[in-house]
Amino acid sequence: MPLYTLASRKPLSAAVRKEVADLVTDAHCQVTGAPAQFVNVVFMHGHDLRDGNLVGVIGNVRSGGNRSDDVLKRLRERLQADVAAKANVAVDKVSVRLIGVPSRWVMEGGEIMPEPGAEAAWLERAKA
Amino acid sequence: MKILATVQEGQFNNDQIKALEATLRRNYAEHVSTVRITVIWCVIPSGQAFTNYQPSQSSLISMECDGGFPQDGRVKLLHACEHDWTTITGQNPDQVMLSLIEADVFNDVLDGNRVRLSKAGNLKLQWHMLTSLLRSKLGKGYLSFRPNL
Repeated sequence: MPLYTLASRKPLSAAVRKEVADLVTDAHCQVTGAPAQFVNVVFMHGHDLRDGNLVGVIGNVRSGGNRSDDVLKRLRERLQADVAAKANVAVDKVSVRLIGVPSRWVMEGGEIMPEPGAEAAWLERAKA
Repeated sequence: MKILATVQEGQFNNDQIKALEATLRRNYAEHVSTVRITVIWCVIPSGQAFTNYQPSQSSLISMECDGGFPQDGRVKLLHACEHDWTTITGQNPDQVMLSLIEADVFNDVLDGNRVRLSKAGNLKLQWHMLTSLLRSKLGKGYLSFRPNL
């Protein structure tokens, strides 16, 4: 976790998918401080989106810890701008919704995931 | 209650998926509840998933539970599922994300796709899910779909 799903009406090319996935990963890591190894990005197409949107992004992200309202707002705005630019669509045609999931409900690498902001100690333990 | 397992296309054969589903059901019954559960497999076509900047080899398993489920029971379930999953698939534990999510948040996650779709989009999705799941159940013995319409 996070798991980002990006739905679009038309399929994005393989090259654009890779570039968008990189941007989503960059945005998540730079805004939240989470490590890239946690970030999953999945694409799907053929979906008619509401309000004439061309790309719909949903992010299931860990809640709590350092994930303040301000951090989540900056993350939404960054994702919307970056995805729009790379997918070559207007910013207001990209919707972004973040759904918070408590980290203690999730396991990765055989360990319950750390609270947002407490990743360093978790990664050290996981490496040991 | 529902379990949604997201895997990469071609990653596992049908026998592995059936064995994985059996272990999920068994562990859920042992650690959470013996209520009826529905297991749905979301199969991501090649080139449509990335983890850590690379084409993904990850499996993402989300399980639903009642609100207020005790954490010690959750940890036992997730450890048991992780052990069985990696034994069957040979995956590294880093490639397996498991979660036991309380029903209200689980439904938010599951409904996320519906919320972003238009009315026509929702109807198309429902039809796609219905036909895909039926075809898969009859042909393979488990419920699966691909997310592209």
